[in-house]
Amino acid sequence: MKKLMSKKQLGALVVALIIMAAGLAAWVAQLTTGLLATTNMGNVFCWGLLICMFAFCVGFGAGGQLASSYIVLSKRPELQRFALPAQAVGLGGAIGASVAIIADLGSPENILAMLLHLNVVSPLAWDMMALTFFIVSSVVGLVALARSWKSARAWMIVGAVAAVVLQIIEGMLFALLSARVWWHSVIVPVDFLMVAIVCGSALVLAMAAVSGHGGFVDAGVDSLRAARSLGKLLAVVIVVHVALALAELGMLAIEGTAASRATLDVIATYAPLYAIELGLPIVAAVLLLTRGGKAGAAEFGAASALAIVGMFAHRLMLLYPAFAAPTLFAGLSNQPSPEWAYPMSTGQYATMGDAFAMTQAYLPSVVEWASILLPIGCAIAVALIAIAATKALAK
Amino acid sequence: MRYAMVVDLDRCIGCRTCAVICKGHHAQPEGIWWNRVFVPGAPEYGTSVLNEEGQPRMEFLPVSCQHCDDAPCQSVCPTGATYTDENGVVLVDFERCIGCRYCMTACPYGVRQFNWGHAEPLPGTDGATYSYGYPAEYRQDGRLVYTPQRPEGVVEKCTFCVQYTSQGIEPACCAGCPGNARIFGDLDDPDSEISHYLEGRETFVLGEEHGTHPKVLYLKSTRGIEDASALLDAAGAGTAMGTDGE
Ligand code: SF4
Ligand code: SF4
Repeated sequence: MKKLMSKKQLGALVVALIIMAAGLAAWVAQLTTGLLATTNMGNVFCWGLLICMFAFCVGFGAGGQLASSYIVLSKRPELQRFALPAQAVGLGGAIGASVAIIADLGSPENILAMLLHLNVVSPLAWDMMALTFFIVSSVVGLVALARSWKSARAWMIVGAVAAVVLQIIEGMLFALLSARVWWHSVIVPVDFLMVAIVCGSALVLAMAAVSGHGGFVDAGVDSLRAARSLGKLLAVVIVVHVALALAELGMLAIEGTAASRATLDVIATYAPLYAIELGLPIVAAVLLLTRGGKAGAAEFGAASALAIVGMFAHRLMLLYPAFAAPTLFAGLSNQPSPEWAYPMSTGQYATMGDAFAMTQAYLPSVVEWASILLPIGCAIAVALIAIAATKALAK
Repeated sequence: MRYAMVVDLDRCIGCRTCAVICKGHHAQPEGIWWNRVFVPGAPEYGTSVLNEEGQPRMEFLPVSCQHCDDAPCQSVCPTGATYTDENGVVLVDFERCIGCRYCMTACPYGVRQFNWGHAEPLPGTDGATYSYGYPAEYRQDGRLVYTPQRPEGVVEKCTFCVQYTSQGIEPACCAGCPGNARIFGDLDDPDSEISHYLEGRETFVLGEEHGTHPKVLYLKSTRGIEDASALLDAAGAGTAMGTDGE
């Protein structure tokens, strides 16, 4: 173990395992005392933080793979030593996403039930298949890189295809639902892909930035050169992502239906979160584009962190305008009238609470925040173990 | 067989009997309502809203599962727990539902309810447990589509009272509605009550833009300012509620 991991890597693995254990305890608390007691979800806001974490992790999964494939296929010499860590991050992200979805479903038995009775027309079934295919291709790609297989480049193409398919299907999981105007757009699957590339390139950029210090990647004189070439890519993808996000907002504004207006109202309510989602990556892009040539490790690290926090806010904003806005609207049946939102049952067993509501101000509970430590810890641990495994596998 | 329900808004008086009788007959836990009646746009129940000319109006709109012909809840369900039976009724098999809640995100009508916890039995007035609802479980071809003891972590919704209709009894909401605003039956049978009721009448559906093709059909209310004015004119009482400003 000592040879396979540096002291810092070993320390990081221990921290990841502790994080995982804390998340596991929170999840067990959810299972044993029930979602009603431990979460702030309800019938109105029926998907919460674990789904957000699922979408976030899956972005790192696909993003890590896409970064690794780009590095290997582009043959850029300054980037080559980041291919394996990026591949390992991709695998970690995908495993973290799987853990998040299993945790949200309540138990692994439910996944088994899904396999036994799979409804192949369900986008959730496609998603599970795409995720499984991705994990398999990611493991094979990792071995191919570690063992320097002749077919490694071919496996990187397979991995990239699996990552693109995964992100498109992931986006379709949301975009196909006409009930949620915030999701029901062709832009969503494309933007899912962009978000993955932002996550993947931001992470490799962070690795390049810390490669002189962290011991996660062997230090080399050209780590800043690597950061510069990745920084440009990250800046461009952020610009594309922001353009897509603004186009989506514009389409919503043009739509002019009662549902789109209600969704815009929710976006206004959560304007600070939306500002973080768009503002931080924009700052990162500006930093990379204006200072790219002269930036040091700290600036590259800061740009990566800003982009990643922005992407997490983006995943939160995937949920808020979709669930905090009503879906059913009705007017008077026999004469022109406005279309009004129609309340729904909250599902809360609260004797004195509201039985019906139009919207729900969802604030994840402490247990929910703690439960996302399970996929996070798992993703980090898998990535670290995968990096160590590649050393063991190396010829 | 294609079961459907007509809701005649002219007849609905907003008493909410349908919501309560539905809750009672299906042992719905606290906070769970398969059926709900509101005045769209009204801040309080039973208050009027303004139409586009700024005139006050009040219309009650009962909403429950629309038993869509193209049900998005069914197509997205990863396990096939949500299915349409041979009568066109959309049902949930509690034993197959894995609680992913994807169907809840896909339903445009907000009618699906999740069992977020284990509902405690309600205490009765005599201190003992108050039990209510159809007392036995009901299976359709082996699938558990109703049970008074609701499992935690499953989705539920209106079943068109499958436990009654399978015995030739009409749904509880139709039986209980004092205004006879709800008419249930087989659309494929030209002699059914619902087919006769619909003859020559124009219906509308909720959320048409979603392309779900609901089997809950609404008849427009014909109540409005003209009727009220005519009545008041006939009575020589002048204008209605200050709406004309004369
Ligand atoms: S109203 Fe909702 S739950 Fe009922 S069939 Fe239609 S989509 Fe499904
Ligand atoms: S919650 Fe149950 S019924 Fe709904 S989609 Fe998931 S498995 Fe199907």
